[in-house]
Amino acid sequence: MKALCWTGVDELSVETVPDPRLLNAHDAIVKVRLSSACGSDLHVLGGYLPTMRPGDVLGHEFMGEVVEVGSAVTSRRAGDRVVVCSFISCGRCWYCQNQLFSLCDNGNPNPLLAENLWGQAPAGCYGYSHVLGGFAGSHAEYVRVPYADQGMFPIPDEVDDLTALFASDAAPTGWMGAELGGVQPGDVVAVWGAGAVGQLAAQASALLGAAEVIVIDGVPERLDQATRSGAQLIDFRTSDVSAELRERTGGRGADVCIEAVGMVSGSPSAPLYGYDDFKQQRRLGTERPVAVREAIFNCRKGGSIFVLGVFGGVVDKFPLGAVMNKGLTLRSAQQHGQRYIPMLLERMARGELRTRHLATHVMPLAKAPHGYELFKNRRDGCVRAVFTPGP
Amino acid sequence: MKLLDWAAALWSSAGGLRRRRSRAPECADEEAVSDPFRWQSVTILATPDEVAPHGRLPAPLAELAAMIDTRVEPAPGGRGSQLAARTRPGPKPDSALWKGEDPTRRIRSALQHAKQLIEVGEVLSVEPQPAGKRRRRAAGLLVDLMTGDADQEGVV
Repeated sequence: MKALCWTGVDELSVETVPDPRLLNAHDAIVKVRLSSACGSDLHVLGGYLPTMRPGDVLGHEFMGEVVEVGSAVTSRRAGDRVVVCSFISCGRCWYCQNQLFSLCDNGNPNPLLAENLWGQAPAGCYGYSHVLGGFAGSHAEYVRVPYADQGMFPIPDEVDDLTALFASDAAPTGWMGAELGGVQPGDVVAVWGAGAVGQLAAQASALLGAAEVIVIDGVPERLDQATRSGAQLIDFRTSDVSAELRERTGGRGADVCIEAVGMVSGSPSAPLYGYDDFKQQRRLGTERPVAVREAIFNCRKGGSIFVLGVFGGVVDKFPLGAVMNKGLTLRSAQQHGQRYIPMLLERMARGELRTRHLATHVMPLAKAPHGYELFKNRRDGCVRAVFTPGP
Repeated sequence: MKLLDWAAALWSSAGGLRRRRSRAPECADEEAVSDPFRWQSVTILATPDEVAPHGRLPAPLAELAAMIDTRVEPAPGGRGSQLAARTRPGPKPDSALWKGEDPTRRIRSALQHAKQLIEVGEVLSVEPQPAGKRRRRAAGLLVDLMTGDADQEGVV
C-alpha cells in the first residue's frame, strides 16, 4: 500500500510499504477514507520530538471503514464506518476506568523512552514517534487499530466523513480543554491559537455556557473562521494581547485560559519570543512556550489554565511566581478521546459542533508532502490539509 | 549536532544515569538494596486473588519462579493490587539461569506483561508493521537501541 513516511527532519515521501495485519486479538484493520495533518505533526516533522525513525508512517487523525477484526473484537465488524481516536487505550486499566484514556497503562509498548523523559509513560498514539509507542500512522491506505472495541466509534448516518474526521482528535482535544479547564456558565474564556483545536476549544467553551470567548491568533484566515463560530478576536500582529484582555474583562483577566499552540508558538511580538526562537533554532532548546506564558500572565486571580498544545521537553523562563501568587490552577493532558467522541458525534449530528470548514485543503495522499508544506507555512489559507488515500 | 541526535543521545544517557544511580548502595547491606535485588512493582486493576489465584503467579513471572521473590498486596485507594518481584537475595545471580539476560530487565518485562495479561488478556504488539525504507541515520539507530529495551527497564 501507499503511505506517507517521515524520512528525516523536514523530509517526507510517499512510499510503498507493507500492508498492516492483525497482531493482537483485539485489533482491527481500517481502510482509511480521510486522514488529516495536525499541528502536532509539525513537532515530529521538524525533529522537535526526536524519537522518529526514518520510514515511520505519519498521521493520527483519521476515519474510514473497518475491513477486518480480530477474534476478541465484539462491538465492531467489517463494513462499519468509524472514526478512530488518535490515542490507543485498553479501556481496562485504572486510568481508562477513570476516563483518563490518554494515560492508559497498556497502550504504549515502548514505555522506557517516555519514562526516562517524563517519569511515566502515557498511552500510545498513531504515527507520533516512538516515545508514544511507535505505531504506524494513518496517512496510509490501511491502519491497524489496537484495542478496536475501545478506540473505534461508529459514525451516525447524519454525519458526513469530513465532519466526523475531526472527532478523532481535534474536537475531543478542544472539548477536553474547555471541560477540564473548568469552563462554567458566565465565564470569560481566552483561547490561544485559532487552528482546528483552538477553534474547537472555543466552540466547546460556548456550548458549555461561556459568556464570552476570545480567540488570539495572527493568521487572518484562521481568525476569520473563528469569528464565524461566534468568538471575539485578538490579532496579536496588531494588538497588545495583555492590554486587550484587561480592557475586555474589566481588568480581571480571563476566567479560563486555553493554550492551543504548543512548542512552536509563533507570536514574534510577545515578550521572550526572540529568546525562545534563538534557542530553538540553534537546537539549544526544544520549546517556545510563548502562549503558555501569556496565558498565565493574563489569567484572572484564582483562574485556571489548560495547556492543550503539545510540549515534549523542558521550558525556560516559566512564570511559576505568577502561578503561585495568583493562585492559578494549571492542567494539561493529551486528549482523552474515548471519553468524548460519542457525545461529540451526537453534537455533530445535531449540527451543534461545526468542523467541516477546517478541512481547507483536501487532496490525494500522493500530494501529502505538498499538503504539509502548505500547512506548515500556512500558505493559501491552509488550516488543515486532509488526505484521501483511496482511489 | 542536530536536535534529533542530541535529544535521543540525552535520553539514552539519562536512562543510563538513572540506572547507575539506582545501583548506588544506600546502606551497609549493599546487595540487599541495590540492583538486581531491588523490588520492582506494577499496579494492576484486579484483586490480589485475581492476580495470583491460590498463590499461582501469572505466566510471565511463573517462568522465573525459581530465581525470584514475589509479593502481592492490595493497592491503596481502590487501585487494585501491587505485584512486585525481585531477584532472590543471595549470591550474585547465575547468568546461565537467566539465559544471559539482565535480571532486572527480564523481571520488569515479566511484570509488565503480567499486568497486560490480567487487565486486557493479551500483550500488546507493535511489530511487524508498515514502514518505509529504514534509511540509516544516527537518530534512528539510537531509537532502535532504546526501543529494543523499551518494555524491560524503567519506572513501571
